[in-house]
Amino acid sequence: MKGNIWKIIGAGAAALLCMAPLAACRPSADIGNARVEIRSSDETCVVIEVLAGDNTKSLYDALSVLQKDGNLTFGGSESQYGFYLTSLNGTEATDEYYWAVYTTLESLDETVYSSASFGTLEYEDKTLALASYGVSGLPLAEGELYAIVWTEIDA
Amino acid sequence: MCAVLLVAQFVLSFVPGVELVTALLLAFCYLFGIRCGMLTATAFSLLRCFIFGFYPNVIVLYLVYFNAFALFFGWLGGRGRPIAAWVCPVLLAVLAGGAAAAAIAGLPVSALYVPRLKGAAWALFFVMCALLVLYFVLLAGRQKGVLRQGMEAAALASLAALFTVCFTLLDDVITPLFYGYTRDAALGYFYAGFLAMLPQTVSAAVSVFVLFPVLARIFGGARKSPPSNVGRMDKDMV
Repeated sequence: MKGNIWKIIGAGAAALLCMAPLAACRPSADIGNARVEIRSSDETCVVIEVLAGDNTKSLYDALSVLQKDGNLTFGGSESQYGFYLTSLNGTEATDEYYWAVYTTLESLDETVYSSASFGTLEYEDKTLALASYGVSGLPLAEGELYAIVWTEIDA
Repeated sequence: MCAVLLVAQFVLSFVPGVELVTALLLAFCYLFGIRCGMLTATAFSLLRCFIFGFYPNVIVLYLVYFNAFALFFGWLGGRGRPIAAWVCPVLLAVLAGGAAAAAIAGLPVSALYVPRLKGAAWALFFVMCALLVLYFVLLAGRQKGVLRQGMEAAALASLAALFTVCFTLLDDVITPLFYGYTRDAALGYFYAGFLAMLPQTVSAAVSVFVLFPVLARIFGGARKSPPSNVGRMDKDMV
């Protein structure tokens, strides 16, 4: 009897160990030479990590591919400053709230892509700064995090 | 007039880089003078907040810019003499030179926006050059009334282009000061501003050159006719 219990516990532990890699598997996509992974995604925040970079592709390109694969939904319109994101995962921008883009990418080739003086966001152990550009102006730089957050205007 | 400006800005806000507020307000200030122009500019700057939102830095920017705009073009229209012949070529040459420099040397904006920025800079360069050539053609035959109107429109278009550049430059000062940006952040904001400034400058120059003669005729007619309520009052008194 005692032996059977240990067998059941052992089989359960083995099953959990086998399922662990599957649970850790996050949605990812290839965009040109870049590879991105969704770290988290809900109605108020989407965090994307660039596993392999391609500076000719933008965060907008990544969102488009991820939407095509059914991993998220987004909408918006073209503006003078590029694509202006107005909805993400079903949450629409309002007069009080907008979708703010944060990134760990500070500068690249003498171009400033974000600044802590615009605003910051803490995510896990990293600090992301509010981006200088919208989703179509941010290149997919390797190792960088991009967070799109439902943010109160003038918060 | 304020309602017309609000409608024009709201409708064209869906079309990136195209704006008619400059052409409409310029013609209005030029023909109705400083007082009417500044009243309209102030009302427009405040009422547009109900559509586009209340942002203190934007309110300050609009109040300062459009009142300065009304003051200048109201004064210009009230002088009763044409703009000096050298003003237009000098402004157009400076703006064309600046646009060419931005297109050739490049600006430190997002690498993904460089082709768009260069395209806009070259567009501005060619529009300024075209206006310059046109101005010299008009200058050669300025004795005819129609050509004089064309020269006036070209000179005002060059001034409108300069003012549009100043609008973005003023924003580059007010917004970083208001939000306390660091030097690097303010520089990043300055360079990103070119993405909006270049198409807007092209739009302002072209719309003023094309629409000013038409708007001058419309506003000129409206200025000469007496207000309708005055007629009714006179009739009632009889």
